[in-house]
Amino acid sequence: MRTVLVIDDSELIRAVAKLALGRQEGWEVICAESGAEGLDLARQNRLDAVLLDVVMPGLDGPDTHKRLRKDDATREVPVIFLTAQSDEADLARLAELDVAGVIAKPFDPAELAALVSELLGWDL
Amino acid sequence: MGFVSEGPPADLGAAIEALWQERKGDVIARLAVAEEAVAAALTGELGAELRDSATLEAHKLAGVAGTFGFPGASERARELELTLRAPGPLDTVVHRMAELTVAIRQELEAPAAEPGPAVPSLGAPAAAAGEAGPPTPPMAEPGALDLLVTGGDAERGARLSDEAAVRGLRAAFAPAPAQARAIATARRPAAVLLDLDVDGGSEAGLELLAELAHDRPVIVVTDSEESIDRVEVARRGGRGFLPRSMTVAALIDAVVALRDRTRAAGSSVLALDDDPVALSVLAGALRSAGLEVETIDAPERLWPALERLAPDLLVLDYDMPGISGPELCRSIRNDARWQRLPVVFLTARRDAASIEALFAAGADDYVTKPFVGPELLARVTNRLERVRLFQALAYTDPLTGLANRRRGLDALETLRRLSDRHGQPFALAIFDCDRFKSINDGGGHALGDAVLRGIAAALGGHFRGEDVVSRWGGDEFVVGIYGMSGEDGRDRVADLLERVRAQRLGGAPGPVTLSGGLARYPHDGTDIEALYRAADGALYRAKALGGDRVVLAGDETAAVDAVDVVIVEDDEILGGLIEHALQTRGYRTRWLTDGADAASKLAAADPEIVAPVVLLDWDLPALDGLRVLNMMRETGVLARTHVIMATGRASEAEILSALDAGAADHVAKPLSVPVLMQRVRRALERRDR
Repeated sequence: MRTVLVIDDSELIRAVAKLALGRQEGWEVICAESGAEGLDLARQNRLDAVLLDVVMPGLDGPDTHKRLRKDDATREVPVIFLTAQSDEADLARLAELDVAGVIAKPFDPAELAALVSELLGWDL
Repeated sequence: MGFVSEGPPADLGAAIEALWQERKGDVIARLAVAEEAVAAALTGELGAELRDSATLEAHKLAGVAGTFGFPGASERARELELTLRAPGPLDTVVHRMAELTVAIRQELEAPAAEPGPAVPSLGAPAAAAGEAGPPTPPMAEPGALDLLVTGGDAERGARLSDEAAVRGLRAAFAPAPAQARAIATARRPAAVLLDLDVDGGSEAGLELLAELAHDRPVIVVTDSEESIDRVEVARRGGRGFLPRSMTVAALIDAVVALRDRTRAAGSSVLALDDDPVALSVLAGALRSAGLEVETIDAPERLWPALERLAPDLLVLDYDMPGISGPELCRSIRNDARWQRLPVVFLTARRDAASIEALFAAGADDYVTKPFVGPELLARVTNRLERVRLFQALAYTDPLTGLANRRRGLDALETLRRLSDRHGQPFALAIFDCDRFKSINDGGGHALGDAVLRGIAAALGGHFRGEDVVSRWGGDEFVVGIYGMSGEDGRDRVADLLERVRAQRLGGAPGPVTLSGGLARYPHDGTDIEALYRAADGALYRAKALGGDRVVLAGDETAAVDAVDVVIVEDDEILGGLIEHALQTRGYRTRWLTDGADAASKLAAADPEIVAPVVLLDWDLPALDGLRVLNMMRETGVLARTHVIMATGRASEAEILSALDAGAADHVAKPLSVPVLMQRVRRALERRDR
């Protein structure tokens, strides 16, 4: 069983990610609508990956990422940024953080699971 | 690990579509924040806080819209976000921002496209029948078929299709006419084997024949005693009869032979051999396949024959007196005119060195002597087919990559027939570029070409796969829009015009604008030529009205100075936005900016301006909208005018008194331009009825 945490303040994106990833056999998807809630869930669950929105009110994506890395319980969890940013420099800065990858929004829901698997080296 | 069994990819598309339907209201409601910001920016009153939240909403929307299959809305939201994010005042870009929000709303509110049948598109090979709804993942192209078997006994049909597959043909069997039509549309079989014994009897069979025979050879299978009228079959495009009593294998043999004949038919072959017996055998084999064959028996006669015949293919003997085949071939390849002429050798030699020499000299293929007819024929037809591939390029406009006039015409005709068969609307639009000559004159032909390519890209990106987009020469583009009513088509075209205007096409110094004429089938014409003429008339009217707009055929008979909509609005920016949006849709407008002026021109007993629709602002200088409305009622003008009152923010009292005073409709400010356009369209449609 693989558990993927999706942290995004957009309810629609959470719903799409849950639909698209949850239909993979053996994948469980849990969602958080803020960085703070995401950090709580990350401590309570054994996670295999985190999909993390970048622009969120309160604790934003990079802040959340930093805190995930500081906490022993979540230090090793691979993180993939999910971002609507288009500026190359912004994207490059994100990719420089200790992340497994960056997925640009909008994305094709039908390809999301394949993208995540590819970034994490999982067999689909 | 794979997909769970209950979730093939199409289900995800459906689930996401359902999610969108459930939640799109929220998304659109949040767009209101951006619209509010734009409205504030229009009056120069956009505060930092609203600007920040609008920036955030635009950012979120950019991420969401494309995920649900609205990539255009994502792009626009992104542009809006970047515009809002850039520091400094917005007054120079506020119109663009307004256009963006209008376009985003339009795109998100648009009803899902009608699930039309798969139609072979022009630019690309036929796509599989697409599902309605945005986020359906693209389906794999199922690939073209060599043979479609249909009608007759199902078990025998399946065996025929299997037998064809054994011979290396891509074949499919369709038991019923409906399936045959669907497969023919989606997979474009090169040939059809039709047993006239179909559901619905021989009349249904003949009908199916006529449809299928339009694009490919159809061979009819029938009992030899059956009283099918052979003349009738031929008239409907049948290419041949085969008796039902033939074995499965023999039927397929006959189909293959016919296919080879059809493929090569009409091509001309020049053959050179010093052996008259070989020549006559060869000529007989090729002529039987419908090829035109000319034979010569001496090398020195080759050049004059090439000049005279300009053949599609040359057959050369290897060993001839005086000159060897390879030497001759090399000299042919050295002549620019014959560099691409396919050359097939006849040779008794089988040694590797000779074969190598032959290819080194530029041969395309060879057949060993003594040759047998079928092998020679197969090699020759294969060669000719490749040449045809190159010739297919002749159907593409080299500048823009769009279909050219010839292919465009064919495809429009296909859409027209599909429209008949499926009862779907179909419209033909002609576009041309406003003041194209001055673009060419001012910036040179390189700029002109770049602009044309830009227009082609905008057209190609705007219309759907099943629509036809073609360039008919110069700056004239012709588009076939399938599955949309004339009014929806007009909105779609107006959308395109707005999109083109907003871009700097091809690096032109100023905005490039287009004019369009639109004709509806069969309302404005029952064949492509008549539709084209009707659309062209409408295009002419669009030009006469100043360009940068689309006019629907039938609307162009009214006088140029007639007015469809009067705008009474004192706000210059808002009035300008509304006027432009109306004009882009082909409506003729007048714009008045104060109440007293409006009263004198609209509300007199014999008014200077008569228009079916008046958009009347409540707050006006000199005389307010309600008083203008009352005066119109007193003089009787109101009885024949549809007044849409624009009232202040949710002021119920204003709305009620406007309706009491005889306004037909009202809209609340801040105005949503798309909503307003819909109200105007409805009002004018009501009048037309």
